[in-house]
Amino acid sequence: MRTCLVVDDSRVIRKVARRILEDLRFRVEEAGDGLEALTFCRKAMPEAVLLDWNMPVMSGIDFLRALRKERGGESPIVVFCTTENDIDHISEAIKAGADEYIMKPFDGDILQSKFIEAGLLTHEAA
Amino acid sequence: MIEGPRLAALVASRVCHDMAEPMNALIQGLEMLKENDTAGKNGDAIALMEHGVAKAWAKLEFFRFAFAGGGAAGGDGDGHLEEARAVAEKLYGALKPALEWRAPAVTMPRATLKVAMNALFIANESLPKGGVVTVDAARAGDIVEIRIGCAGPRAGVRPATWAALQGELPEDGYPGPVAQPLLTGILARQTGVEILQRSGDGAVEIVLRSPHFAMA
Repeated sequence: MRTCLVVDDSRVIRKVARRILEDLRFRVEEAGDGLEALTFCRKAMPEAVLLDWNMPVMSGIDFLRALRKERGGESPIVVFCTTENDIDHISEAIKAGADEYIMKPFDGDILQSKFIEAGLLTHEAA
Repeated sequence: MIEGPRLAALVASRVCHDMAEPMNALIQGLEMLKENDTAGKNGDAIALMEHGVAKAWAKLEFFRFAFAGGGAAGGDGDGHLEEARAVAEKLYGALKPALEWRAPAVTMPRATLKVAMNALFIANESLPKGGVVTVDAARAGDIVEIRIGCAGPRAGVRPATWAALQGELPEDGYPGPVAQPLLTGILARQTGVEILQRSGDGAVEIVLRSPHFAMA
């Protein structure tokens, strides 16, 4: 079973994401900020990361840049979630190493289709 | 001094940004409620919330595209009319008239996508009793036209809306519905899009013309 690390400072949002991702047959791990997420990745690199943009301690983009410099850190597929409307923010995140992005708000169906686009799921599996 | 439309886009962007997070919580919370209501005890309340959430979500995505210039409509370079389709279909899913998208592929400057999306909103207001909005594109001589048809009872662009589109400022203050066509007119002139109106037979057509539109 593949692991998806959900990185968000909201416990409720992590719970919601867990519910959707477990339905998609991922093993789900959680981190409350970028630093926790980085610590987790150093121990066990996940196959996927669902990453929030705005977080205290270490923001989504800072985590992403740090992750991509880690040993094996280029392998996880990173899907980040943002409320930013600005196209510049999105290109900044893609440049920092994100594979796919989701504009908030989104529901389970959108998350699933983004995971398919990012190559984490096949249409058959979903 | 920052120019008016740019500032309007930044304000709209800020509003959409701040609404996205709570909207996300509502959408996902509602999904959880539905999952947990297997006995159907809260059917009416859930239906009511679904209606409100769907409408708010569709409007938020529309405002983001049409006013804030985020996502597909943001940035420079060329875009495609088709990029407006998903947002428009979602919007019309929450509005009274039906939407029929018949347009072939049109390449257009990204900034003009905002004008097209705003015109689609004006089309809805031109059908107070509902009806059908059609989106099409065709060549008229050497220019490409995007044609937004509005057919239904009492179809017609409101005179105040049309005046605002032409850049005429209302004499007695600014009633709420005027702001959107006023901004649409300004964006159209800035980006070299001409807006025409053709009417006949209980239907009205809002036509966008620009030498910058291209069809394969």
